[in-house]
Amino acid sequence: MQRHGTAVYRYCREALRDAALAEDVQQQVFIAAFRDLPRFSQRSSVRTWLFAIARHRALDAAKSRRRARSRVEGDDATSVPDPAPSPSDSLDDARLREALRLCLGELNPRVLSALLLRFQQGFTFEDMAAMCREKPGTLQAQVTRALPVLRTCIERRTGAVP
Amino acid sequence: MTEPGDQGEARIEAALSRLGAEHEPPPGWEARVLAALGPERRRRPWWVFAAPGLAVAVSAAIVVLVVRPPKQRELEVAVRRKDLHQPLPVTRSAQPDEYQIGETIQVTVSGGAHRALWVYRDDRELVIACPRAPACQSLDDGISVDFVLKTVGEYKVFALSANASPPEPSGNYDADTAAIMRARIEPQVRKFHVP
Repeated sequence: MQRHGTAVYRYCREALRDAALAEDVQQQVFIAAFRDLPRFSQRSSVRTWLFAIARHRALDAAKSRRRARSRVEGDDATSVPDPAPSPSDSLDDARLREALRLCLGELNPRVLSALLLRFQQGFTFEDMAAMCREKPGTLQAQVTRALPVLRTCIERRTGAVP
Repeated sequence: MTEPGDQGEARIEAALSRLGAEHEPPPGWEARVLAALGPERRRRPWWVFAAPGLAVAVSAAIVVLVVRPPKQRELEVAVRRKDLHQPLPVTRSAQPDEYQIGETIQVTVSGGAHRALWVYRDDRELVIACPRAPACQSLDDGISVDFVLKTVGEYKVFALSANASPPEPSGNYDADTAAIMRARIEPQVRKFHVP
């Protein structure tokens, strides 16, 4: 648990952008892992197996939250304020990070998940294919298409080039 | 040459790789996972609960079938002529339980446990007693003795079986039969006659 707990939490935190929900999902991941441990086939690494559970749980949680929000208050994304535009053309890391988080929130949860698994967690597309049950090429295409979208979004939100 | 767009995406990739690095899971999350697993662990499949009972049943079956000694055969006693080639007197026909002087008789006791065999003549003389007599032979499931009929009379074969060693005969018929009764032994008795 200690070995992978922090990484799973960080993934959930960025995938859900909600600390409390991330903590809840992280615990669900490890509870499910303990429960399913006898069925773990060891065809993949423990880390890949854990993140497959985490991805699944995080997508479920995001879907449930989206449904709840649409019933109660509508789309929350529009209520998030943009970071203040910088007068300069260069973008410091802090502003980039803030803008990136907001732009990630605009992505499809599955694409967001693919980006996080690829760059935040450093999985190969083959590992990701195993946990997402998709072809590596499909995931690579998702990631490749998502990067220009993020860049454009960050430019729009910050008025600066990343 | 790197395009500006590529540089931007490289920065985004780098930012993605550092994303969330400042976040740590809340303290005590492992304890909460383990606490949540408690009830889950109690919700075990039926066979986990049945396993101890099955183990006891299997052990009992092993004891019954393997460890426990096989059921003892009933005590049996057989008396027969040893030398069937020896011609019987032609002057008279032999009765089933009647033998002649000079015949060798074989008495066999089988079954039971802690066996003993006594042969008394006319409720007075102890003719032979097994297993102590040198002529007695130990069999897989019994004892056997051959002896020659030298004296006329009514012979009684006592086949004894007891949980412990049966009493040793003293040679006194009344005393020995009393000892059998005291030991709560029910002997198999066969009689034969030597006219």
